[in-house]
Amino acid sequence: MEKPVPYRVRNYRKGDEVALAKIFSECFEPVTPRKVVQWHRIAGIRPEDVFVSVVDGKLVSHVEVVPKQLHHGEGIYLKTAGIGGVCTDSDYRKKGIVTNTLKLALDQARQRGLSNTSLFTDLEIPAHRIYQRLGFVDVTTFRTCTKYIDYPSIFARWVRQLNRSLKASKIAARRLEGWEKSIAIQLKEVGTLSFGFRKGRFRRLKKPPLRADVEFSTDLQTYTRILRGGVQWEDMVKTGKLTVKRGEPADIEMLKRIIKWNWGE
Amino acid sequence: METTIRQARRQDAEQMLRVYNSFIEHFVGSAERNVKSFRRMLRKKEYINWVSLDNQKRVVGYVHARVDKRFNRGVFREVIVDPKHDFVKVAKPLIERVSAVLMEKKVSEIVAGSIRNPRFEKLFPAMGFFESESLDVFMYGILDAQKFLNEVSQVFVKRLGRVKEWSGLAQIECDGCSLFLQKTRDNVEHILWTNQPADFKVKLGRDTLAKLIFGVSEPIESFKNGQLAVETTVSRETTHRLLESLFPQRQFLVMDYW
Repeated sequence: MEKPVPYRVRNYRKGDEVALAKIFSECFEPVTPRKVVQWHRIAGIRPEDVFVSVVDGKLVSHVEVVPKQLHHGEGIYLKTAGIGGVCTDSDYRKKGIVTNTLKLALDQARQRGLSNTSLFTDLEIPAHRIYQRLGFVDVTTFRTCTKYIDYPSIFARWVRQLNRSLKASKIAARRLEGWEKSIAIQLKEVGTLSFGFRKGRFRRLKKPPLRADVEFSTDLQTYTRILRGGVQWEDMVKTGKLTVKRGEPADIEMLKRIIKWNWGE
Repeated sequence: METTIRQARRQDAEQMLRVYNSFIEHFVGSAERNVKSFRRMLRKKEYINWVSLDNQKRVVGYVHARVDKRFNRGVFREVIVDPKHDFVKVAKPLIERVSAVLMEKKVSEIVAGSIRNPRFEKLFPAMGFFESESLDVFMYGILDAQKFLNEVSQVFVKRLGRVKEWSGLAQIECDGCSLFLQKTRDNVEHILWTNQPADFKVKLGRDTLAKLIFGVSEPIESFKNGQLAVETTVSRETTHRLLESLFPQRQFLVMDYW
């Protein structure tokens, strides 16, 4: 953990939604302040259910407690403190801010008479370890059924999404600085799709480059499973479901980070 | 049985809630809903809701889907069928119809994403969908063991009530907190505290209790690997039977995210 910074934790106040929208956009997906207010209203979240940490007047982290009733078997529903929106501004991570904010939120939930808590997260992010330390256990992972109708347009949208995520992530922008490469993906069912990173932007390449910096082939299902994090790139290489045809190890590592959008945040 | 399908109407909310409640009773983990939440679901124009009706015009199943405009994809959010009816037979025509509606809207992909819905595993792959896992995970924690045991006592009362040919005092001890259940031939009573020694005592930690409640751990396996300890005078067979009755294998299924 890095050097602690002085911070205060308080409940949500009107006007915080502007700063929250910025942090949410960096950590999850682009949202507007209006969406934040809308979400609070729809989910029935009161200001006292939202905990924010403030450093020198700047809002840097957020935890919210969503009241829910979960079925615990035999038709019995128990109230649960649903934890949501756990995030920290990338400049203030590894300082224990969100851990302590979450501890406080759980303590308040306990004082309000809630006996249990639950949340949705990702297995591969540092926050997962924080939750485990605070007493959460993994119950189940997700599974999705997918049918593609027009994959090239999905790919084009994915590249646009990469740019939106890049705009919101300072860490990704720092890591990608100076990395100008082209990638060609041969998908059995679709053909070759390619994209490149140049001048700080991801671009879909309508024509595959004659010699891409990284080139690999796989099938649509394997590629989807890698994108969703259900399987590891290395395992798919070992089982022969993915073949790397060209690429320096460092470039492949960077590509893996881009695909999973995992920058160790 | 003959079923007909049509678009859902606002007045279907009560019947859809009834079907939802009977469907999720066979699982653990789903959130409680009310008519208001179904009315909200039916009011929104961007949602696609279709129902299946039996010959008496009662709702026996429904599909709730939407178009996610940001990704231009169709999303099956819920496929719910009354457990008294065959899931595949009722759900398949609904899914086919809603898929056609989604295709008319020119979506680039269709996804069905409830967490670990075992019924989906049979149905969607047979309709040309492929399954993929993700690293998203649902986590659960017990904040106050004594309060939790008291709240969950009715679950164990019902489960113990189904056990035949065993009577006595059962105790579930979690991190030093206890739940006492006195079982007679035709009744199970939750006792706040007693100084009597239990005939069947289960000792376990919060993590194991959470996993057993949600059916993601197997009780006999947890007993064998020491995550759960049993103090009793009954035979090994009865121990296993009691453990399986208290912690039956229930499929975990979450329909709502937050």
